[in-house]
Amino acid sequence: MDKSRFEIEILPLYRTLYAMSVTILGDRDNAADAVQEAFAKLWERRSDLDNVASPEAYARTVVKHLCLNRLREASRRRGMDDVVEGVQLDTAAETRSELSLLRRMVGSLPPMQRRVLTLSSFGGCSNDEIAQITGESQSNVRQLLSRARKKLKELYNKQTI
Amino acid sequence: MKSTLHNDIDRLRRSLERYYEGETTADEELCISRFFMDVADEEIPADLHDDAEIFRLMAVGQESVESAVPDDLEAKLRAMINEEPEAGAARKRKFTWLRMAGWATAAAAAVLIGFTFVPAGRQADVSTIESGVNAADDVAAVEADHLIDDCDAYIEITDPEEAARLAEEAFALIRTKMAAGRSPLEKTDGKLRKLNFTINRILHNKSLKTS
Repeated sequence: MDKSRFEIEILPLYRTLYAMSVTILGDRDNAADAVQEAFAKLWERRSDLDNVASPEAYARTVVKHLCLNRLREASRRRGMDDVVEGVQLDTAAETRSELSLLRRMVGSLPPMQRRVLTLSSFGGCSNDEIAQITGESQSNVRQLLSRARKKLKELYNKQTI
Repeated sequence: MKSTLHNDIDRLRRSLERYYEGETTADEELCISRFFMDVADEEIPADLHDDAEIFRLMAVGQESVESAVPDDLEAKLRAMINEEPEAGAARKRKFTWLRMAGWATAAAAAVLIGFTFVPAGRQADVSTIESGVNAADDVAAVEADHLIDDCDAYIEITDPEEAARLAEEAFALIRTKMAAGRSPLEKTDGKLRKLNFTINRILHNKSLKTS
């Protein structure tokens, strides 16, 4: 893959890959480093990108593996609270209050439900990826996600957090 | 139009069931999200309003996470890409046949000129030296022509192994010529030293006579 194609097809993925990294690692600086490292590897292997069916999926896999390695080294588990804490809030009051509501709702979930929901909804991770990241089985991930989403709906209905 | 929306809503309900069972894919969730964004609130059934709000909240959260990307990250990634040469991951060395012929010719010509400079066993004089150089030039020219004639046209060698093989052939030619020419070179060197000594003695004697 030449430079211009890389700039058009791969470079724009950095935002979604950063979102994935920050939800996995729970740390903005670490996530930024992971994304840079991933792009260095993707650039190094750009000749392989012509042979893959989905360069985006390939890029996600590279980022995921890097993040998992960093997690193993750090042995850290962070939840949604830490992710949202580090997020830059939009200047619009409406968005700020929505984020605040979201933080409260997700923060009230049990830790593993919160983790799985965060990876799915904000990291864009598939159930399979979540299973690899968390070490849970796919059926457990599905169950945790189901419970988290139903709980979230219940909390929204009540809005008694 | 209404029946289309009705069908869409039926499909939406089935998707939402799967969503709350944790079985939807990212694409399915994106479709649900887009439906809620594209369809007017008054067209969404009342029992789905909360679902629409939840999806909107999650989209806001997703956007917030993505927008929290460090400002300089994109610039750093672009700088990294621009630092590297555009050539592929494995640098290709391009060899041209003519370039290698030129190396071999230059080296062979230098050696040929060297060992034919003065015929061994004969006292050097100007005419002999000139004829020797001319002869060597002719030989070198023939060698170069021979090497160049071997290729009909400009050929670009991009295969590193092929390039290495051709380079080895050229150097083997040089080694052969040098091995053949070493003995005459050594003899020529001895003759030149003797000539130099003789010339210096003549000049010295001449200076003694005139002083």
